[in-house]
Amino acid sequence: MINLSLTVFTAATIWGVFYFVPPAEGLGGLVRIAFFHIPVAWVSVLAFFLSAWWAFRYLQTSRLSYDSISSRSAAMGFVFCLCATISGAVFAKLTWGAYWNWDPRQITIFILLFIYGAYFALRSSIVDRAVKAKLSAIYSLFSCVAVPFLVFVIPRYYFSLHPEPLLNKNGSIQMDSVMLLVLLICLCNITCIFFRVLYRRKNVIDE
Amino acid sequence: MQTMSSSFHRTMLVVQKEIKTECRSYYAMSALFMFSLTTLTAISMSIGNLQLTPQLLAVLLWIILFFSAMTGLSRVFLQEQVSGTIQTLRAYSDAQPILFGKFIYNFLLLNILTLFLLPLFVIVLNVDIYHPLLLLLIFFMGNAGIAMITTLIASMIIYTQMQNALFTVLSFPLILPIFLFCIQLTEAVFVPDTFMLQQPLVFIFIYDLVMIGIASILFDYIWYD
Repeated sequence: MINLSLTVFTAATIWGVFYFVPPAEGLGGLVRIAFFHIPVAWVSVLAFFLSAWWAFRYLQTSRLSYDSISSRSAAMGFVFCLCATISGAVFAKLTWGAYWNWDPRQITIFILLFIYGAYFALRSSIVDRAVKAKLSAIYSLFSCVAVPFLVFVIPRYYFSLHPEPLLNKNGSIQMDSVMLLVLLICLCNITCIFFRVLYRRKNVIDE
Repeated sequence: MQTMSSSFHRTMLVVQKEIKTECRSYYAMSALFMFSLTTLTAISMSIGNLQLTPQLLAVLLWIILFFSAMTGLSRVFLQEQVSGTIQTLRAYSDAQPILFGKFIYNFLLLNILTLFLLPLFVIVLNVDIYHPLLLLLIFFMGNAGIAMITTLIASMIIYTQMQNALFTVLSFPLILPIFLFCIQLTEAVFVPDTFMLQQPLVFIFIYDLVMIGIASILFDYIWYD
């Protein structure tokens, strides 16, 4: 039932993006990439913080179920982060003329990918289940403190070609209201997909 | 108040112990110094007489320092594990003096390395430094953050299988913010009429503080089973 309604919701969202959103000034149809890119980037950061939250819960309680959900959230986050990187690179190629030019935003997303990669390298190199859970929880929390600096501070310092984030310095939203509505629906949709996949096997968690 | 002074005392004892074991073998020192020397030589030989821009110089300097740090700084905990003294250390003290003792030792080591590397860098690559005090301040603050991050990561990797490779992989993303801002600041030191870059300095300072704080909290979980 949940799957069906989510599928319908996703189909409706895709329809909305392609038939409802007006072409943007200067970007034309390319603006539609943003309706994938922004939600996916948002979810990759959300997944990261959720993973850190469950890591924190694991350190408090030492229950392995927290560790498995934390690592699954990180795995999902990694996939979403990859999607955000690729869709961003394609957008960059089509608008700025190069896939990759170490724009501040690209630096931060790359570091996020790197942290995820390091996290899984750490997990795979420890045999003992409890030690694995503990150390990856610690690394997750340690790197989680660095992420706000990466995502919110570094891009503010360097000159960037990246469009202003939705929540910009002035706190004003410079977007067409139809676009904004569709974007919010996309955000909601991708977040729902994330949680659905995250909890898909809740009952078979090995304790 | 007494517990504070006693943990300070213990921290200092840990630092002393580290220095003594280092003086027995000079393992970390020789690894760090020889590595930085090798990289510096490789770079300056391959560059030849080319004049480098300030930006490139800053990048090279920090890359040498970063990779040298990666070779020697994991020793603080690896050596305890190899020689089997880690349980003794556990029995001797609670977590914080150990962490801060090893942090201070790593910090000292990095600063000595910097003081060794900088003059050579200036001589070999023909660099003009216009603001030496600012440069020392940048290195001092950058090294503090790097030392704390590497100390915590070093305490984690002793439980893993591919220790040294993992040490670099785990440290790099966390050091990167310091790395980027230090390069930006160092670049300004190599230019005569620079303007004071306060914001990045403040950023590094805050980042250092946050890292030291969170490492201190998390180390408890590593130290006590």
